[in-house]
Amino acid sequence: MSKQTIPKADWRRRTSRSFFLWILGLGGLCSLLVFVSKAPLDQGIPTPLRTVHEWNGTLWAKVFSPIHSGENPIVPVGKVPRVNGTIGLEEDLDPESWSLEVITDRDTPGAKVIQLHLADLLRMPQTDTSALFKCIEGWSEEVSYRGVRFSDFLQELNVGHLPGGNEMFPFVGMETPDGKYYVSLDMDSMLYKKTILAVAMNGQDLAEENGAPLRLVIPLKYGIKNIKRIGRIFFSRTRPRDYWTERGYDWYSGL
Amino acid sequence: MVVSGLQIKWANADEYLAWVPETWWKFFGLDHQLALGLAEHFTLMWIFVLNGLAYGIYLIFSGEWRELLPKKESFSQAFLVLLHDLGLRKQPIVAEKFNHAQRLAYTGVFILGALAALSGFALYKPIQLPWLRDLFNGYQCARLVHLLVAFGIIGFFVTHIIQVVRAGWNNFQSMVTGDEVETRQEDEQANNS
Repeated sequence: MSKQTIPKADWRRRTSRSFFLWILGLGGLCSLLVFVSKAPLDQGIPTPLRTVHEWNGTLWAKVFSPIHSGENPIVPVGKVPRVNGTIGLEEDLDPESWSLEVITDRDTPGAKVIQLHLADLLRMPQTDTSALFKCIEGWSEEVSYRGVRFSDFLQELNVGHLPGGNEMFPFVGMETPDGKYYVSLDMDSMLYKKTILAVAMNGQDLAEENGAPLRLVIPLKYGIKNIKRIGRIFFSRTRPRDYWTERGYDWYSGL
Repeated sequence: MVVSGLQIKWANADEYLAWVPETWWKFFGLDHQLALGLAEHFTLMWIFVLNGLAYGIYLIFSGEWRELLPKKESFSQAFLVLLHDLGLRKQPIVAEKFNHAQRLAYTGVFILGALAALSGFALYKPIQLPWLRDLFNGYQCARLVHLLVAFGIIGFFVTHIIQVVRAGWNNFQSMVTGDEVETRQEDEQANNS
Protein backbone atom coordinates (compact mmCIF):
# COMPACT_ATOMS: atom_id res chain seq x y z
CA MET A 1 0.00 0.00 0.00
CA SER A 2 1.32 3.38 -0.94
CA LYS A 3 1.47 6.25 1.49
CA GLN A 4 -0.12 9.52 0.54
CA THR A 5 -0.23 12.83 2.26
CA ILE A 6 -3.42 14.66 1.44
CA PRO A 7 -5.12 17.75 2.83
CA LYS A 8 -7.59 17.11 5.58
CA ALA A 9 -10.51 18.41 3.51
CA ASP A 10 -9.75 15.91 0.72
CA TRP A 11 -9.48 13.14 3.24
CA ARG A 12 -12.81 14.14 4.77
CA ARG A 13 -14.45 14.03 1.36
CA ARG A 14 -12.97 10.62 0.57
CA THR A 15 -13.97 9.19 3.91
CA SER A 16 -17.52 10.49 3.80
CA ARG A 17 -17.92 9.18 0.25
CA SER A 18 -16.77 5.72 1.36
CA PHE A 19 -19.03 5.71 4.39
CA PHE A 20 -21.96 6.96 2.31
CA LEU A 21 -21.53 4.07 -0.12
CA TRP A 22 -21.07 1.63 2.74
CA ILE A 23 -24.26 2.73 4.49
CA LEU A 24 -26.09 2.77 1.14
CA GLY A 25 -25.07 -0.84 0.56
CA LEU A 26 -26.01 -1.88 4.08
CA GLY A 27 -29.33 -0.04 3.83
CA GLY A 28 -29.98 -1.63 0.44
CA LEU A 29 -29.50 -5.11 1.88
CA CYS A 30 -31.73 -4.33 4.85
CA SER A 31 -34.53 -2.91 2.69
CA LEU A 32 -34.27 -5.97 0.42
CA LEU A 33 -34.75 -8.14 3.51
CA VAL A 34 -37.76 -6.10 4.64
CA PHE A 35 -39.19 -6.11 1.09
CA VAL A 36 -38.98 -9.91 0.92
CA SER A 37 -40.36 -10.51 4.41
CA LYS A 38 -43.26 -8.07 3.89
CA ALA A 39 -44.14 -9.32 0.40
CA PRO A 40 -47.55 -10.98 -0.03
CA LEU A 41 -47.54 -14.72 0.49
CA ASP A 42 -47.69 -17.19 -2.35
CA GLN A 43 -48.79 -20.58 -0.98
CA GLY A 44 -47.37 -20.02 2.47
CA ILE A 45 -44.10 -18.18 1.72
CA PRO A 46 -43.25 -14.65 0.50
CA THR A 47 -43.74 -14.34 -3.26
CA PRO A 48 -40.06 -13.58 -4.08
CA LEU A 49 -38.99 -16.78 -2.30
CA ARG A 50 -41.66 -18.76 -4.16
CA THR A 51 -40.35 -17.27 -7.42
CA VAL A 52 -36.82 -18.48 -6.63
CA HIS A 53 -38.18 -21.93 -5.69
CA GLU A 54 -39.86 -22.14 -9.10
CA TRP A 55 -36.74 -20.83 -10.82
CA ASN A 56 -34.60 -23.41 -9.03
CA GLY A 57 -37.05 -26.13 -10.04
CA THR A 58 -36.92 -25.09 -13.69
CA LEU A 59 -33.12 -25.00 -13.59
CA TRP A 60 -32.74 -28.47 -12.09
CA ALA A 61 -35.42 -29.94 -14.35
CA LYS A 62 -33.36 -28.63 -17.30
CA VAL A 63 -30.13 -30.25 -16.14
CA PHE A 64 -31.95 -33.37 -14.88
CA SER A 65 -30.21 -36.55 -15.86
CA PRO A 66 -31.91 -39.94 -15.38
CA ILE A 67 -28.58 -41.81 -15.53
CA HIS A 68 -27.74 -40.99 -11.92
CA SER A 69 -29.05 -43.81 -9.79
CA GLY A 70 -28.39 -42.42 -6.33
CA GLU A 71 -27.36 -44.69 -3.51
CA ASN A 72 -27.71 -48.48 -3.75
CA PRO A 73 -27.76 -49.71 -0.18
CA ILE A 74 -28.19 -53.31 0.90
CA VAL A 75 -31.07 -53.18 3.35
CA PRO A 76 -31.60 -55.55 6.25
CA VAL A 77 -34.75 -57.47 5.39
CA GLY A 78 -37.50 -57.16 7.94
CA LYS A 79 -36.65 -53.71 9.27
CA VAL A 80 -39.85 -51.64 9.47
CA PRO A 81 -39.43 -48.43 7.49
CA ARG A 82 -39.62 -45.27 9.55
CA VAL A 83 -43.06 -43.64 9.64
CA ASN A 84 -43.40 -39.87 9.53
CA GLY A 85 -46.80 -38.83 8.15
CA THR A 86 -50.34 -40.16 8.47
CA ILE A 87 -52.28 -37.55 6.51
CA GLY A 88 -54.87 -39.26 4.32
CA LEU A 89 -54.49 -42.54 6.23
CA GLU A 90 -56.90 -41.73 9.05
CA GLU A 91 -59.85 -43.80 7.82
CA ASP A 92 -59.81 -47.56 8.15
CA LEU A 93 -59.08 -49.27 4.88
CA ASP A 94 -60.24 -52.66 3.73
CA PRO A 95 -57.58 -53.92 1.32
CA GLU A 96 -60.16 -56.18 -0.34
CA SER A 97 -62.40 -53.31 -1.36
CA TRP A 98 -59.54 -50.98 -2.30
CA SER A 99 -59.09 -50.16 -5.94
CA LEU A 100 -56.91 -47.80 -7.91
CA GLU A 101 -58.52 -45.31 -10.24
CA VAL A 102 -56.41 -44.28 -13.24
CA ILE A 103 -57.76 -41.18 -15.00
CA THR A 104 -56.10 -41.17 -18.39
CA ASP A 105 -56.68 -37.48 -19.16
CA ARG A 106 -57.80 -35.27 -16.32
CA ASP A 107 -58.19 -32.21 -18.55
CA THR A 108 -60.77 -33.81 -20.86
CA PRO A 109 -64.16 -34.57 -19.31
CA GLY A 110 -65.32 -38.08 -20.11
CA ALA A 111 -61.83 -39.41 -20.76
CA LYS A 112 -61.23 -43.08 -20.01
CA VAL A 113 -60.95 -44.15 -16.35
CA ILE A 114 -59.37 -47.51 -15.51
CA GLN A 115 -60.15 -49.38 -12.26
CA LEU A 116 -57.41 -51.68 -10.97
CA HIS A 117 -57.32 -54.09 -8.05
CA LEU A 118 -54.23 -55.21 -6.22
CA ALA A 119 -54.23 -58.49 -8.17
CA ASP A 120 -54.03 -56.51 -11.45
CA LEU A 121 -50.94 -54.72 -10.21
CA LEU A 122 -49.33 -57.94 -8.99
CA ARG A 123 -49.77 -59.41 -12.49
CA MET A 124 -47.60 -56.64 -13.96
CA PRO A 125 -43.78 -57.02 -14.07
CA GLN A 126 -42.34 -56.54 -10.57
CA THR A 127 -39.10 -54.70 -9.84
CA ASP A 128 -36.92 -54.98 -6.75
CA THR A 129 -34.59 -52.12 -5.89
CA SER A 130 -33.20 -50.09 -3.02
CA ALA A 131 -32.44 -46.45 -2.27
CA LEU A 132 -31.61 -43.96 0.43
CA PHE A 133 -34.99 -42.51 1.35
CA LYS A 134 -34.61 -38.82 2.30
CA CYS A 135 -36.99 -36.84 4.44
CA ILE A 136 -37.16 -33.06 3.95
CA GLU A 137 -36.76 -32.77 7.74
CA GLY A 138 -33.20 -34.08 7.43
CA TRP A 139 -33.26 -37.77 8.31
CA SER A 140 -32.60 -40.46 5.77
CA GLU A 141 -32.99 -44.21 5.81
CA GLU A 142 -31.98 -47.07 3.57
CA VAL A 143 -34.96 -48.90 2.13
CA SER A 144 -35.56 -51.67 -0.35
CA TYR A 145 -38.86 -51.87 -2.13
CA ARG A 146 -40.73 -53.97 -4.66
CA GLY A 147 -43.57 -53.19 -7.00
CA VAL A 148 -44.41 -51.98 -10.49
CA ARG A 149 -41.96 -49.60 -12.07
CA PHE A 150 -44.00 -46.56 -13.09
CA SER A 151 -42.71 -46.68 -16.68
CA ASP A 152 -43.80 -50.35 -16.88
CA PHE A 153 -47.17 -49.37 -15.41
CA LEU A 154 -47.69 -46.82 -18.22
CA GLN A 155 -46.76 -49.40 -20.84
CA GLU A 156 -49.00 -52.12 -19.41
CA LEU A 157 -52.02 -49.83 -19.42
CA ASN A 158 -50.97 -47.87 -22.50
CA VAL A 159 -51.55 -44.55 -20.73
CA GLY A 160 -49.52 -41.40 -20.09
CA HIS A 161 -49.34 -40.27 -23.72
CA LEU A 162 -51.06 -37.11 -24.85
CA PRO A 163 -53.92 -37.99 -27.20
CA GLY A 164 -52.78 -38.43 -30.79
CA GLY A 165 -49.06 -38.24 -30.24
CA ASN A 166 -45.96 -39.74 -28.72
CA GLU A 167 -45.49 -36.89 -26.29
CA MET A 168 -46.14 -37.57 -22.64
CA PHE A 169 -48.36 -35.63 -20.29
CA PRO A 170 -45.97 -33.31 -18.41
CA PHE A 171 -47.63 -33.86 -15.02
CA VAL A 172 -48.78 -36.81 -12.95
CA GLY A 173 -51.12 -36.34 -9.99
CA MET A 174 -51.85 -38.80 -7.18
CA GLU A 175 -54.27 -38.73 -4.27
CA THR A 176 -55.23 -40.85 -1.28
CA PRO A 177 -58.72 -42.44 -1.52
CA ASP A 178 -60.15 -39.76 0.81
CA GLY A 179 -58.41 -36.99 -1.15
CA LYS A 180 -56.80 -35.58 2.00
CA TYR A 181 -53.22 -36.06 0.80
CA TYR A 182 -52.23 -35.32 -2.77
CA VAL A 183 -49.03 -34.84 -4.72
CA SER A 184 -48.09 -33.82 -8.24
CA LEU A 185 -44.90 -34.75 -10.03
CA ASP A 186 -43.09 -34.04 -13.29
CA MET A 187 -43.20 -36.87 -15.82
CA ASP A 188 -39.38 -36.96 -16.24
CA SER A 189 -38.94 -37.92 -12.59
CA MET A 190 -41.81 -40.41 -12.80
CA LEU A 191 -40.11 -42.22 -15.71
CA TYR A 192 -36.91 -42.70 -13.68
CA LYS A 193 -36.10 -46.40 -13.34
CA LYS A 194 -36.32 -46.39 -9.54
CA THR A 195 -39.74 -44.72 -9.43
CA ILE A 196 -41.98 -47.55 -8.31
CA LEU A 197 -45.58 -48.12 -7.29
CA ALA A 198 -44.56 -50.25 -4.33
CA VAL A 199 -46.43 -53.09 -2.67
CA ALA A 200 -43.62 -54.17 -0.35
CA MET A 201 -40.73 -52.56 1.54
CA ASN A 202 -37.73 -54.20 3.19
CA GLY A 203 -38.95 -57.64 2.15
CA GLN A 204 -42.38 -57.38 3.73
CA ASP A 205 -45.83 -56.44 2.47
CA LEU A 206 -46.52 -52.78 3.16
CA ALA A 207 -47.76 -52.07 6.66
CA GLU A 208 -50.81 -49.81 6.90
CA GLU A 209 -48.74 -46.90 8.29
CA ASN A 210 -46.25 -47.35 5.44
CA GLY A 211 -49.03 -46.92 2.87
CA ALA A 212 -50.67 -50.30 2.23
CA PRO A 213 -51.80 -51.50 -0.20
CA LEU A 214 -49.96 -49.29 -2.71
CA ARG A 215 -47.58 -46.37 -2.30
CA LEU A 216 -45.17 -44.38 -4.41
CA VAL A 217 -41.43 -44.65 -3.81
CA ILE A 218 -39.51 -42.04 -5.80
CA PRO A 219 -35.99 -41.59 -4.43
CA LEU A 220 -35.45 -38.59 -6.74
CA LYS A 221 -37.74 -36.59 -4.46
CA TYR A 222 -38.04 -35.92 -0.76
CA GLY A 223 -40.34 -38.16 1.28
CA ILE A 224 -43.21 -35.65 1.04
CA LYS A 225 -43.74 -36.70 -2.59
CA ASN A 226 -43.68 -40.45 -1.78
CA ILE A 227 -47.46 -40.65 -1.29
CA LYS A 228 -48.91 -43.56 0.68
CA ARG A 229 -52.19 -45.42 0.07
CA ILE A 230 -52.70 -44.23 -3.49
CA GLY A 231 -56.35 -44.16 -4.53
CA ARG A 232 -56.17 -42.14 -7.71
CA ILE A 233 -53.58 -41.49 -10.42
CA PHE A 234 -54.18 -38.98 -13.17
CA PHE A 235 -52.36 -37.26 -16.01
CA SER A 236 -52.56 -33.58 -16.82
CA ARG A 237 -51.21 -30.80 -19.01
CA THR A 238 -51.23 -28.38 -16.09
CA ARG A 239 -49.68 -28.85 -12.68
CA PRO A 240 -52.13 -30.54 -10.28
CA ARG A 241 -52.37 -29.41 -6.65
CA ASP A 242 -49.74 -30.60 -4.20
CA TYR A 243 -50.32 -30.83 -0.46
CA TRP A 244 -46.97 -29.55 0.84
CA THR A 245 -46.47 -27.00 -1.92
CA GLU A 246 -49.65 -25.35 -0.68
CA ARG A 247 -48.00 -25.21 2.75
CA GLY A 248 -44.86 -23.36 1.69
CA TYR A 249 -42.61 -26.12 0.34
CA ASP A 250 -40.86 -26.32 -3.00
CA TRP A 251 -43.01 -28.03 -5.63
CA TYR A 252 -40.11 -29.62 -7.54
CA SER A 253 -38.38 -30.94 -4.38
CA GLY A 254 -35.90 -32.87 -6.53
CA LEU A 255 -32.76 -34.46 -5.14
CA MET B 1 -27.65 -18.29 5.78
CA VAL B 2 -27.10 -19.14 9.43
CA VAL B 3 -30.57 -17.99 10.50
CA SER B 4 -32.34 -19.92 7.75
CA GLY B 5 -30.06 -22.87 8.47
CA LEU B 6 -31.19 -22.80 12.08
CA GLN B 7 -34.80 -22.68 10.95
CA ILE B 8 -34.11 -25.90 9.06
CA LYS B 9 -32.05 -27.50 11.83
CA TRP B 10 -34.51 -26.60 14.57
CA ALA B 11 -37.68 -27.21 12.55
CA ASN B 12 -38.46 -30.27 14.64
CA ALA B 13 -36.23 -29.49 17.58
CA ASP B 14 -38.85 -30.92 19.91
CA GLU B 15 -38.67 -34.31 18.17
CA TYR B 16 -35.07 -34.71 17.00
CA LEU B 17 -31.61 -33.96 18.27
CA ALA B 18 -31.19 -30.19 18.01
CA TRP B 19 -27.61 -30.00 19.37
CA VAL B 20 -28.59 -27.26 21.81
CA PRO B 21 -30.76 -27.09 24.92
CA GLU B 22 -34.45 -26.41 24.46
CA THR B 23 -34.14 -22.90 25.92
CA TRP B 24 -31.90 -21.91 23.00
CA TRP B 25 -34.21 -22.59 20.12
CA LYS B 26 -37.16 -21.34 22.14
CA PHE B 27 -35.23 -18.10 22.84
CA PHE B 28 -34.40 -17.52 19.17
CA GLY B 29 -37.93 -18.51 18.13
CA LEU B 30 -36.67 -20.23 14.99
CA ASP B 31 -38.35 -23.60 15.47
CA HIS B 32 -41.13 -25.00 13.28
CA GLN B 33 -40.30 -22.86 10.26
CA LEU B 34 -38.98 -25.53 7.91
CA ALA B 35 -40.76 -24.35 4.75
CA LEU B 36 -39.68 -20.74 5.21
CA GLY B 37 -36.15 -21.73 6.23
CA LEU B 38 -35.69 -23.90 3.13
CA ALA B 39 -37.07 -21.17 0.85
CA GLU B 40 -34.68 -18.60 2.34
CA HIS B 41 -31.74 -21.00 2.28
CA PHE B 42 -32.23 -21.94 -1.38
CA THR B 43 -32.52 -18.24 -2.31
CA LEU B 44 -29.63 -16.87 -0.27
CA MET B 45 -27.33 -19.70 -1.38
CA TRP B 46 -27.03 -18.11 -4.82
CA ILE B 47 -26.05 -14.76 -3.30
CA PHE B 48 -23.58 -16.56 -1.01
CA VAL B 49 -22.00 -18.39 -3.96
CA LEU B 50 -21.88 -15.32 -6.25
CA ASN B 51 -20.44 -13.18 -3.45
CA GLY B 52 -17.77 -15.78 -2.71
CA LEU B 53 -16.86 -16.10 -6.38
CA ALA B 54 -16.66 -12.31 -6.81
CA TYR B 55 -14.45 -12.03 -3.72
CA GLY B 56 -12.17 -14.84 -4.91
CA ILE B 57 -11.83 -13.34 -8.41
CA TYR B 58 -11.09 -9.92 -6.91
CA LEU B 59 -8.39 -11.36 -4.64
CA ILE B 60 -6.71 -13.11 -7.56
CA PHE B 61 -6.70 -10.19 -9.98
CA SER B 62 -5.90 -7.44 -7.49
CA GLY B 63 -3.02 -9.42 -6.00
CA GLU B 64 -4.52 -8.84 -2.56
CA TRP B 65 -4.32 -12.57 -1.90
CA ARG B 66 -0.64 -12.03 -1.09
CA GLU B 67 -1.68 -10.09 2.02
CA LEU B 68 -4.07 -12.84 3.13
CA LEU B 69 -2.41 -16.18 2.39
CA PRO B 70 -0.61 -17.60 5.42
CA LYS B 71 3.18 -17.67 5.16
CA LYS B 72 5.37 -20.50 6.34
CA GLU B 73 5.90 -18.86 9.71
CA SER B 74 2.23 -17.87 10.13
CA PHE B 75 1.28 -21.06 11.90
CA SER B 76 3.76 -20.49 14.73
CA GLN B 77 3.53 -16.69 14.69
CA ALA B 78 -0.27 -16.75 14.93
CA PHE B 79 0.06 -18.23 18.40
CA LEU B 80 2.10 -15.21 19.52
CA VAL B 81 -0.60 -12.92 18.13
CA LEU B 82 -3.17 -14.89 20.11
CA LEU B 83 -1.15 -14.47 23.31
CA HIS B 84 -0.74 -10.76 22.53
CA ASP B 85 -4.48 -10.28 21.96
CA LEU B 86 -5.32 -12.13 25.14
CA GLY B 87 -2.96 -9.77 26.99
CA LEU B 88 -0.53 -12.53 27.90
CA ARG B 89 2.36 -11.24 25.83
CA LYS B 90 3.50 -7.65 25.97
CA GLN B 91 5.85 -7.48 22.97
CA PRO B 92 4.22 -5.71 20.01
CA ILE B 93 3.28 -7.81 16.99
CA VAL B 94 4.83 -7.21 13.58
CA ALA B 95 3.03 -4.35 11.88
CA GLU B 96 1.64 -5.63 8.60
CA LYS B 97 -1.66 -5.05 6.86
CA PHE B 98 -2.81 -8.39 8.22
CA ASN B 99 -0.98 -10.17 11.03
CA HIS B 100 -0.34 -13.89 11.04
CA ALA B 101 -3.45 -14.75 13.02
CA GLN B 102 -5.52 -12.71 10.60
CA ARG B 103 -3.91 -14.43 7.63
CA LEU B 104 -4.91 -17.80 9.05
CA ALA B 105 -8.40 -16.65 10.00
CA TYR B 106 -9.23 -14.93 6.69
CA THR B 107 -7.88 -17.76 4.56
CA GLY B 108 -9.52 -20.31 6.85
CA VAL B 109 -12.94 -18.71 6.65
CA PHE B 110 -12.71 -18.55 2.86
CA ILE B 111 -12.05 -22.29 2.81
CA LEU B 112 -14.92 -22.83 5.26
CA GLY B 113 -17.19 -20.81 2.98
CA ALA B 114 -16.22 -22.92 -0.02
CA LEU B 115 -16.79 -26.10 2.02
CA ALA B 116 -20.17 -24.82 3.15
CA ALA B 117 -21.20 -24.27 -0.47
CA LEU B 118 -19.84 -27.62 -1.70
CA SER B 119 -21.33 -29.71 1.14
CA GLY B 120 -24.53 -27.71 0.73
CA PHE B 121 -24.86 -28.61 -2.93
CA ALA B 122 -24.05 -32.24 -2.08
CA LEU B 123 -27.08 -32.16 0.26
CA TYR B 124 -29.25 -30.18 -2.13
CA LYS B 125 -28.81 -32.51 -5.14
CA PRO B 126 -27.32 -35.78 -3.85
CA ILE B 127 -28.60 -37.74 -6.85
CA GLN B 128 -28.02 -35.21 -9.62
CA LEU B 129 -24.50 -34.43 -8.27
CA PRO B 130 -23.36 -37.93 -7.16
CA TRP B 131 -19.63 -37.10 -7.47
CA LEU B 132 -20.05 -34.26 -5.01
CA ARG B 133 -22.03 -36.48 -2.62
CA ASP B 134 -19.32 -39.15 -2.79
CA LEU B 135 -16.62 -36.52 -2.26
CA PHE B 136 -18.17 -35.98 1.18
CA ASN B 137 -18.49 -39.72 1.75
CA GLY B 138 -22.25 -39.79 1.36
CA TYR B 139 -25.36 -37.82 2.21
CA GLN B 140 -25.34 -37.99 6.01
CA CYS B 141 -21.61 -37.29 6.15
CA ALA B 142 -22.14 -34.18 4.01
CA ARG B 143 -24.79 -33.09 6.53
CA LEU B 144 -22.27 -33.39 9.36
CA VAL B 145 -19.63 -31.43 7.40
CA HIS B 146 -22.21 -28.73 6.59
CA LEU B 147 -23.11 -28.39 10.29
CA LEU B 148 -19.50 -28.31 11.56
CA VAL B 149 -18.54 -25.76 8.91
CA ALA B 150 -21.45 -23.59 10.07
CA PHE B 151 -20.08 -23.74 13.63
CA GLY B 152 -16.69 -22.62 12.26
CA ILE B 153 -18.17 -19.69 10.36
CA ILE B 154 -20.22 -18.57 13.38
CA GLY B 155 -17.04 -18.78 15.47
CA PHE B 156 -15.18 -16.62 12.95
CA PHE B 157 -18.00 -14.10 12.83
CA VAL B 158 -18.19 -13.68 16.60
CA THR B 159 -14.40 -13.39 16.98
CA HIS B 160 -14.28 -10.94 14.07
CA ILE B 161 -16.89 -8.64 15.62
CA ILE B 162 -15.17 -8.71 19.02
CA GLN B 163 -11.79 -7.92 17.45
CA VAL B 164 -13.17 -5.04 15.36
CA VAL B 165 -14.74 -3.50 18.45
CA ARG B 166 -11.47 -3.94 20.36
CA ALA B 167 -9.39 -2.45 17.56
CA GLY B 168 -11.31 0.81 17.68
CA TRP B 169 -12.50 3.47 15.29
CA ASN B 170 -9.45 4.03 13.12
CA ASN B 171 -9.32 0.35 12.21
CA PHE B 172 -13.06 0.32 11.50
CA GLN B 173 -12.90 3.35 9.22
CA SER B 174 -10.00 1.69 7.37
CA MET B 175 -12.21 -1.37 6.77
CA VAL B 176 -14.78 0.85 5.11
CA THR B 177 -12.58 3.34 3.27
CA GLY B 178 -9.57 1.17 2.57
CA ASP B 179 -7.34 3.98 3.90
CA GLU B 180 -5.40 3.86 7.08
CA VAL B 181 -5.03 7.30 8.57
CA GLU B 182 -1.83 8.63 10.04
CA THR B 183 -2.01 12.15 11.30
CA ARG B 184 1.24 14.09 10.84
CA GLN B 185 2.88 15.56 13.91
CA GLU B 186 2.68 19.15 12.61
CA ASP B 187 -1.07 18.80 12.13
CA GLU B 188 -1.49 17.56 15.66
CA GLN B 189 0.45 20.55 16.96
CA ALA B 190 -1.46 22.93 14.71
CA ASN B 191 -4.70 21.55 16.05
CA ASN B 192 -3.57 21.83 19.63
CA SER B 193 -2.33 25.39 19.49
